[in-house]
Amino acid sequence: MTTSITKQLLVIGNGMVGQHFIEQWLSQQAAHQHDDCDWQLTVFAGEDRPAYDRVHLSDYFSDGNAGKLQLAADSFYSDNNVTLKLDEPVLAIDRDAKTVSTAKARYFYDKLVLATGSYPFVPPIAGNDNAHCLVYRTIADLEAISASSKDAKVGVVIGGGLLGLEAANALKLQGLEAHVVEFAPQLMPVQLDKDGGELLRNKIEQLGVSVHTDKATSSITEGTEQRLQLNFSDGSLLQTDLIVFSAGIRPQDQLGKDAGLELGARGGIVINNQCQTSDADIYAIGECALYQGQLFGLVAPGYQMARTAAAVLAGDNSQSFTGADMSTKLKLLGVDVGSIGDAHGRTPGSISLRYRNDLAGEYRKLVLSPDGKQLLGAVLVGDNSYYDTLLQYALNGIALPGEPQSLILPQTSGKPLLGPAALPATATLCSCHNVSKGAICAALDSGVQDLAGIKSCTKAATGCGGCAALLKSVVEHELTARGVAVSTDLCEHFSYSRQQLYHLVRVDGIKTFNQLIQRHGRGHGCEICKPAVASILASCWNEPVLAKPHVALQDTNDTFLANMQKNGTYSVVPRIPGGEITPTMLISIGKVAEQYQLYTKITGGQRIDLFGATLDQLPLIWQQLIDAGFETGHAYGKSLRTVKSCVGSTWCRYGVQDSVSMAILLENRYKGVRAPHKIKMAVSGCTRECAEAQSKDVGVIATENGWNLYVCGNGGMKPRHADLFATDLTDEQLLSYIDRLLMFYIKTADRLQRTATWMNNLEGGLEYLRDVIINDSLGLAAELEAQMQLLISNYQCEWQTVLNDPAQRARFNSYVNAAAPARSEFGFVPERGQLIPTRQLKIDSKETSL
Amino acid sequence: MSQLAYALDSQSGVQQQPALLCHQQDLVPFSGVAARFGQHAIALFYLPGQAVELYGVSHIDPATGAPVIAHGLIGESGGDFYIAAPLHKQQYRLSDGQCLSDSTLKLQVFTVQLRDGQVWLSPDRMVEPRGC
Ligand code: SRM
Ligand SMILES: Cc1cc2nc3c(=O)[nH]c(=O)nc-3n(C[C@H](O)[C@H](O)[C@H](O)COP(=O)(O)OP(=O)(O)OC[C@H]3O[C@@H](n4cnc5c(N)ncnc54)[C@H](O)[C@@H]3O)c2cc1C
Ligand code: SF4
Ligand code: FES
Repeated sequence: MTTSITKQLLVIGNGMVGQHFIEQWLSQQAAHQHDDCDWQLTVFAGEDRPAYDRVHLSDYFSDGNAGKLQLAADSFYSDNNVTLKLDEPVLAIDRDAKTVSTAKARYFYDKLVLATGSYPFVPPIAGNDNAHCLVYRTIADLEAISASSKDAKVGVVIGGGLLGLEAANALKLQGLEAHVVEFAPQLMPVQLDKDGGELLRNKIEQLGVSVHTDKATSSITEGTEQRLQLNFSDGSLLQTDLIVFSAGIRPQDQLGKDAGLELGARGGIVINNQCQTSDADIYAIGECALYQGQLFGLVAPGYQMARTAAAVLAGDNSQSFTGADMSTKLKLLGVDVGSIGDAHGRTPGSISLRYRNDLAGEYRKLVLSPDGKQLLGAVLVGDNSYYDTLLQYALNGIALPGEPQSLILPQTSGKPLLGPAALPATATLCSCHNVSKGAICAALDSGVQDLAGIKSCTKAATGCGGCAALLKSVVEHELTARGVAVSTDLCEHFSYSRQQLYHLVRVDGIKTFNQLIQRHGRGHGCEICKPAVASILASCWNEPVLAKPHVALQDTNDTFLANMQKNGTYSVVPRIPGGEITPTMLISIGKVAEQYQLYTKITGGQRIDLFGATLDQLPLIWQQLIDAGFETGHAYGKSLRTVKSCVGSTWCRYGVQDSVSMAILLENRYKGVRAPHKIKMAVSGCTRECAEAQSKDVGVIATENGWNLYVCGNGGMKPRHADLFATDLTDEQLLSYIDRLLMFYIKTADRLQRTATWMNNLEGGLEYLRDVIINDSLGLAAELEAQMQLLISNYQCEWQTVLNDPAQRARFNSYVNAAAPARSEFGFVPERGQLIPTRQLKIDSKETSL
Repeated sequence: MSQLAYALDSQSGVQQQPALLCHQQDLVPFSGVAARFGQHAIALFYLPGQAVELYGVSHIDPATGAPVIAHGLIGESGGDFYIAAPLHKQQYRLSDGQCLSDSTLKLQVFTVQLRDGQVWLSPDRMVEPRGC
């Protein structure tokens, strides 16, 4: 090796792109050791802290932790022999002498990289220099906003673009009344079209941020009520305590300008596709650079430039920067917004398809090529679940399906999803780090085992994070295809899926949560794993759910064998198998309801629900119901609810079988069996299907010759028609198939997975299920039936068990040290002759239930 | 808010002496029960064998005003115990009552102690206003 000389590489700016350049440069150095010279890398930072994640800047307001945003460890620079000069901005470049100067010294360079980013544009409005006029770009800016908010009430953001809305959210988080003032007639004029902007405005106003569009601010003066007053050109006013300008960014190109580098007409340092400026020894990357007349205000293109410049500087000319995709998706104030490619449909002859739903607050637009075959752009407001698929169509020029509108119509079962399997290897998944599906597959082939590994070795999803969901689905799909199990950990306490836990419980004969967590878990459990394990234990051994070791595991509804209502009272649902009830029984329900003044309603499941019982009343009410011959209806349990039935051949002129008797048989057979989720069944007496059996987990429809069995149907949030599973079954066949099916579901489904979702995810689908259940392909049939038999023979009415045990009954005291609260204390008002809860309870709809 | 919650909530009284709330056998291990003190409703969570064995927080759900917190499920994350509210599953840290999913919600914390088989309520922190 020849004696090496040391050359100087200087980088101005340690922002996101400058930092990425350092990393790319270091990896290039590692790869190209053959170079005959050593480089010394020196980085000048204008800020007093090393590079941090500007994209997640707003997190500073939610957790107040600036350290978490830092991109590299403090030791990164010295470990890699990079000299980082914090708080030492470069003041001038001397291209002839090849030096840069700071307030402290002059430094020679052989090659120079400008990564100076942008600065926030503050419009020239009189009064904009007030101490409470701020911007939103750096950690120091956020500290200033935080300080100014201390004794403020109202905050205004000038500018209704992406950043402006993010800033408005930050003001809201600071507890201020937030306003957004936008010059254009709509919000986010750059990314959204008029309809999209309008919908976004509605949504944002609903969230309590006032939006003022079409407003030009002419001056800022002192306020009377608040600290400041905005005076608009139309004569209107707005008082506020602080103002955040977010009226766009401008490239930080002053150094280049002073040094005589070529600039664009409206700013930006001109670069070629190797990121070189008009001076071949000076490169520019990130937001300060202008490529073919375009600035790039996003990290992904900045990172591509950093990669290109590092490669070119290391002598690898194969890389080039050829522009970048500017698609974005984000959640602004909790509202999904996405914009892809040519969102405004500026391509001549382009065709647009729109879906607008003011009720749901959703808007979607597709911009298609003139021949309708390619996706050029898209706008999304309200639901970004469409984004990944659309972006892949647009980026990779994938031919659109025959009816492209199906891509934006509300999800129906027929929606042609672009699944991970359908993506070509060349498809770019992560545009920040330019990672294709092929690169992911290559990494997996080289032995990377999981998503975390993929992220650290390809860096995919570590930039803006926008590709995370897609990456996850591709990795999981590819891992599965390679026969690797995908992590389906239940929660932080168990590194097992529900199915694996079920197995462990069975194989080890585990009877309690404590045994299970000691042997196979860690920590103390949570509201996810406790009820899931309680359900598994019940499915395996069917001990009473309120037996001592299980008490603390149950969801509230299971703990009290009743569903908690919004005001803290409970409902009572006795079982009425098949919907058949004698007048005497009906009267006895009526009497109990009357005595306790319970609100009484016929349910959608053919039985009667009594609402408004206090905890202390539950055992009293149930005692009376049980004395009258009722038993629990398990309305609270993840178990069989009702078997709905029509009147069938007993009365109906069309009926071909006795549907009521069959429904009662089924309901009594499976009542109390705990499952991953609730189970509903129905039996219809003929093909007219009055019992709606095809919308149930298990549906039975009578035929001349016996019964047709339908499986895995569902009403609820995502209806699914049941599939016809077997035809013309005898009673015995029907029962044994249902036994096996339910037990197989209990064994293999995920927690809180209804049979419909289970079936949708079952590899091999209906055919496989038929094979297992009917043809016994796994040799499990006998075992499944035996297990079901155990559950059936262990059945007891849980309410009866509680009433027999004084200790369990004591749990139904509202207070351990005081008398039962009077029911009136819960706040009831009469309506249509019954008592209902007072209506002013505030239920926060954003919280999720179950 | 229900009348009960309102009544329980609007009361403010200064208590000087520790008060006996209930007995150890009234508690349910790894679960909650509710006790009343004056107009306060207190949810007591008993974690035998843990560093802190007994927690006391308000029984009133801050999100709905319903007296139900004692009936939630106890969870643990990274060594911290929390209660998942039964109606809408918000998580509240038992040590300080802070809601982990919504910074605007908080449960009042009561200083409770288990001594010689009895559950005592300490006089401090009794008149602190509710956090939401
Ligand atoms: C009472 C009733 C409404 C009524 O007044 O008619 C009702 C009430 C509740 N339903 Fe329902 N559902 C009732 C019939 C239905 C039906 C219709 C049916 O069964 O024919 C459906 C759609 C069919 C289906 O499930 O496939 C239905 C789909 C749901 C869902 C969504 C399930 C899904 O998979 O998407 C939930 C939420 C859940 O379980 O996660 C739910 C949950 C609930 C809960 C348990 C919510 C809760 O946790 O508090 C309600 C409490 C009832 C209570 O306190 O007693 N309820 N629910 C009906 C009771 C039937 C019964 O006698 O047991
Ligand atoms: C709140 C917010 C949210 C954002 N969200 C997203 C998003 O979701 N997705 C996305 O893709 N992008 C987002 N961005 C944009 C993204 O942060 C920028 O595109 C990216 O940071 C640009 O990197 P850069 O290195 O070019 O510039 P910067 O990160 O601005 O870094 C430039 C650095 O150079 C320093 N500097 C300037 N002049 C000198 C000098 N003379 N001497 C020394 N140092 C100097 C500056 O102090 C600065 O630290 C967001 C930006 C903000 C502010
Ligand atoms: S499903 Fe057939 S048998 Fe049953 S009620 Fe309707 S028409 Fe009659
Ligand atoms: S696209 Fe930004 S991290 Fe992947």
